Amino acid sequence: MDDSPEGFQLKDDRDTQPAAGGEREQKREFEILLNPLLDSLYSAARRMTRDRDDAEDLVQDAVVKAYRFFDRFQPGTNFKAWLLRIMTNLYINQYRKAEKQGEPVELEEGEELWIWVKAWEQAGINATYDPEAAALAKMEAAMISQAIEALPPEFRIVVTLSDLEELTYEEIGAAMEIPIGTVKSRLYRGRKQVQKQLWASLQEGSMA
Amino acid sequence: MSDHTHADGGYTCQQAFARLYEYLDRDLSPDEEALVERHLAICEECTRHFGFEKQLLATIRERCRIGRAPERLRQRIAKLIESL
Repeated sequence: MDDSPEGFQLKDDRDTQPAAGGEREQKREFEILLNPLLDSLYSAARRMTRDRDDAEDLVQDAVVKAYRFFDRFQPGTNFKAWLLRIMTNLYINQYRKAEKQGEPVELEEGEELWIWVKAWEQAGINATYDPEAAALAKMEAAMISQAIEALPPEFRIVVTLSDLEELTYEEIGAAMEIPIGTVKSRLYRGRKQVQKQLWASLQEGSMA
Repeated sequence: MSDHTHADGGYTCQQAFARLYEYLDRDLSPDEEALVERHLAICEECTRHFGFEKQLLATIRERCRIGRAPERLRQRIAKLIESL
């Protein structure tokens, strides 16, 4: 998205107001690109902040910042990834400090994924039904949201950007300023943790 | 996990599984992708497991997205851009 040697710097004191002449046109162009993506931005912000008001504030701050840096956006590249990068950058730098999460939490890394293994363990090798399909059918939206929101922020952001917003590893790495190897490892561990949480919710559901 | 090995040097189940997410996320090189697919073509269990993980990710995406941004937010943003 930005191949300038100094990289993409977001600085509050930078003045990048567009020239007065093309300002109206630039605003229109910005809005045409932005409007179809507001749902995505809001959805990602809700997952990140876990709060309606904070999500709205985060989206607004991201829009202001994106507009100020709009001249840095390269037409033809992924505007959604660019916006989400700005928003993630803001969230990590400002909102996470306010959340007082403490030290980053490291999730364990295991060999196997969870639901597949557990579903087959529970059903037995001679099961006459598809245990994994049965688990999928019982997964409710609220269970999934809860599982994602329970993740520590570093993992929640990666899972949100990948699994809900469909950004590539490279785009996520750029948004979070972390190497691609770290994106992959957080994504693997985050997804596995989501599976564990989902499996636990499914067990509670079936006992109720 | 059973382990199908290839006489021709293709991936084993474990090697294919190690690339599960990179495969589903379309992040493998064409060569590696072809190797995973060659394994899947001969291994029913891995095909089923890969299919499940793919479907799970799709389920999460479908059921967990928050629909529309609130109208109030849309209006606030329109005004905000006007004032910039």
